[in-house]
Amino acid sequence: MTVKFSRLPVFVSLMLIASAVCAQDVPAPPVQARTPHFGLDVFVGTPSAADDIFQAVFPGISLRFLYSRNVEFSLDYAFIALEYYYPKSPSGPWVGPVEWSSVPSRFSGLRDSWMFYHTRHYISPLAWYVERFDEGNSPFALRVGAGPVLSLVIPNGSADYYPGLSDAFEKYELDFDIHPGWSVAVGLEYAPWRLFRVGVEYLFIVDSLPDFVDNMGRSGLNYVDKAGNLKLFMGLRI
Amino acid sequence: MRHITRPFIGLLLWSFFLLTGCEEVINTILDNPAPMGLEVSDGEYPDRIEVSWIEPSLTSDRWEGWEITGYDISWSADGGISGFFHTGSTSYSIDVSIDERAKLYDIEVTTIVEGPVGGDTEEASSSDTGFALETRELIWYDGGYEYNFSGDDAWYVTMLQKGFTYSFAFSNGETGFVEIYRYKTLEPLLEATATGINPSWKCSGDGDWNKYYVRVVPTSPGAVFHAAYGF
Repeated sequence: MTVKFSRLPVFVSLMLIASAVCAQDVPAPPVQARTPHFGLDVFVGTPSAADDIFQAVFPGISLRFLYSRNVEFSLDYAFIALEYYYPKSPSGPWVGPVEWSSVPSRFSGLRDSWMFYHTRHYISPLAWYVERFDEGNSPFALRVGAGPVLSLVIPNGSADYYPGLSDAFEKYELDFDIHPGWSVAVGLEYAPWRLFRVGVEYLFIVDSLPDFVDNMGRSGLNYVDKAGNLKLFMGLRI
Repeated sequence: MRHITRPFIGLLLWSFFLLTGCEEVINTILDNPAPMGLEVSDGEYPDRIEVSWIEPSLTSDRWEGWEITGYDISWSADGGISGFFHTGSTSYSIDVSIDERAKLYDIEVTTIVEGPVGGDTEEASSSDTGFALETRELIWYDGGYEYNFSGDDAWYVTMLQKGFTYSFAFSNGETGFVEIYRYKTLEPLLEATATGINPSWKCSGDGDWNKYYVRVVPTSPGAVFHAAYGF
């Protein structure tokens, strides 16, 4: 039996529960000696159902600059994927990119030294508005961010010495349909201690405005749900 | 506190050791004025070996009033090769002739410092090895490719995949041998010398990020060979 769940309802439920908790009286944290200015978050995200850049669980880090009480800037980086290529025969052609499980069994055991691969990376600088509940006395805060997204494909240097592989790389890069786009994120953070944060975030990536309008017109909120990614994060503030 | 401090100091020393190398750690601990960060080129140039270093610091009390007057560079290699040069700068280029390529040079750089009292001098040195090499790129086309050269041997830079077999089939009844070296070293892999009309080698890994030198040596000067990968 397959249990399917939708990302958007899960996230909305989490937000509602958190809001209910926030509405209750929460003990005020002790007077802060110094306001933190910088932060480092680590996160893990779920793949999106749609055919976008995150097709598997992805880890990442986020460097944050706390400009003011309500405004933050971050630079997010996520490692998207390591994908492989292989020659079908010594005369070619080369096949890829594929997951290692799809590489022929004759090459099994060579994964650690395999040099025919590329890696994909996600980089996004974001500007955030942070709304702290109960004038900052609550440990909860809502954050909303937006910024450009850059997705990079970095081939291994072995393509310089294997022209068949180089051709396969070039073909993939031509077909690679993720262009610089925009990301929008909505998150809820919880600060159990003054310098520590955990939270959940919903990340949505838009390739372009016309593309977004077109998809929304066809699929409505279902598109937002399919193309979104749920992120769990934890981080330090200094 | 002590049980935290000790491993931390150990880790710090170990990191320092890894980053700077044994000789520099000893020089730093002994507070001697040996050149810092000595760098010697390993096959980057066909006609020279580039040597560079950082001026040592003489800021401790021990060296108050002392100053660096220059550096002596000396080198030697097999075949009676040797040389010496004195310079005031922090880099030097050792000229290498065609016959002296692919030979490992031992290079020593010595700092000369002069004390506040006339005639007082001290020296301290750092050393490293380097070599000059003329290389071409060995490209592995699907189905193979024919290469040729005119000299006694030819050095190539390439990337080899562990588990793949690489063959070098000589044309025109020629024979010879092929040696595989780790990239930026002149130590051939013991198991990687192949001989005959069609020398071949199954790569067993251990390259520097899969990068290697391949030296092709025909029995008589000049060769045409067909290079192909297989598995």
